Formats: sequence, C-alpha cells, structure tokens
Amino acid sequence: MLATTQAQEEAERLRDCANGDRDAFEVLFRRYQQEVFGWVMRILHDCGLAEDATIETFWRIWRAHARFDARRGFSAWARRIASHVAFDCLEKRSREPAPLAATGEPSAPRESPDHLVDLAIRRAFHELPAKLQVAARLSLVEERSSAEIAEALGISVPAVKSRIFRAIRQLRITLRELEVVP
Amino acid sequence: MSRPDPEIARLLRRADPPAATGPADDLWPRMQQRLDHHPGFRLHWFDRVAIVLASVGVVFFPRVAIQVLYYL
Repeated sequence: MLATTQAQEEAERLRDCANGDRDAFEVLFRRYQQEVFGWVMRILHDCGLAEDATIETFWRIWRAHARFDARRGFSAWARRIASHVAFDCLEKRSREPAPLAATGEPSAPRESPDHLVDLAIRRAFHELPAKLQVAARLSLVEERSSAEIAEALGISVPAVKSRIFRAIRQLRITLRELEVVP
Repeated sequence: MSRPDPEIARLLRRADPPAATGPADDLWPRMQQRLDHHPGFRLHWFDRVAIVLASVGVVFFPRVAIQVLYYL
C-alpha cells in the first residue's frame, strides 16, 4: 500500500515536471540522485564519469516523463535509464586507448607478479565490448544477481548469463594471448 | 549466489575492486545549469525531416495530400 502511494506520488510529480515544474523535479532529483549515482558508479568505476552520467540520466528522465509507467516504480525506471547512460559512456570510453592504470589502485603491491596480472586483467577487461563489460562488472565485481542486472538493462536473465559467459571467455582468451596465466 | 568463474571473479575484484559508492557532491546545481541551457521543447531530427518531406509533398502534390487527408 505504501509502495503504491509512493508510486502515485512520483507519477504525479512527473506530471508536474511535464508542465515545467522544476520544484517537483528537484524533489525527485534529491530523493534519487544518490541511488542513481551509486548505480552508475558500480558500472563505470570513475567518480567524474559517474557524476556526468547521473546528470545525463536525470536529463533524460526530465525529457521522457511521458514514458514513465507508475506500476513499475520510479527507482526501477531510473535505474534502467542510468544503465543505458552508463553503457553509452563505456562505449565512448572503449574507443579511447585502454588505460593501464584505471582510477583506484589494484590491491596487489606494485612490481609484484600479481600487479602485472592485475594490469593485464584491467586492460583485457577494458577491451571487452561495452555490453559485456557492464554485465560482467555488475555480476562478478559488484555481485548483483542476474535478475537485478536483467531488470536494469531491460534484457532477459538468460541474456545476462550469456553476456557474462562471453565476457569470461574473452578475458581468458585475451589473457592467454598476453601470456598471462592467472 | 554461485560465481560462473570464481577465479576470474577473484582476479577482477583484486584488479578493480568494487566501487566506493559513497556520497557524491550535491549535483543539483549542475542539473539546474543543464536545465537552464536546454529549457524548451526540441524536435528530434527525425521529426524535422518528416515535417520537411511532408511540406514538400503538399507543395508539389497537393491533390495527393488532399486525398490522404480525406482518408485520414
């Protein structure tokens, strides 16, 4: 009952946003910005990109208010949009040269064999197609369930599992080519 | 939940640990700037092309346009 009331309230706020009511939009934004930021951060692992992606997500929400389905809840809808935005960021980033050292340090100490393996893994992971990266990161690193990933990406659970499987296979092939044996 | 490949999962988590999703700065000021710079309704490029083609069709084939409107 409480969930329905909240969903109705959010649907009303989105209708107000349609009329250009920025106060209504600000309420939604402040309520959900942390959640959206946290979700895209899990995918992108880059604070600056995650902030940009959060802004872009809410921008798309502002423009697409008419497509909101109150039965599904604002949170799930926002997460779906955020996933697509993060996916676009990853696709754009994958066209750039792969970084050897991404944001944040790997756990292994520098100059250890493990550190070299870590760098190779990061590089191999960065070379994966964006849609495989997203599924693999959310599942293997962030430990989200396949059902949760499927809902966020708007695909089926078997499709999520297929992407994870393909990501792992590709990682193993790339590591073998780099002559890195985990 | 069972991992599909525990070894690769372990290596990935070591190479690129789970994200710290702690509080970001308040992004509302940036959001306001974005709204200020793009306030109004914008036509998608596809819609613009469709309108131009329809206008050209009406100008050069007025009878066809009247017939289409009739059946609509």
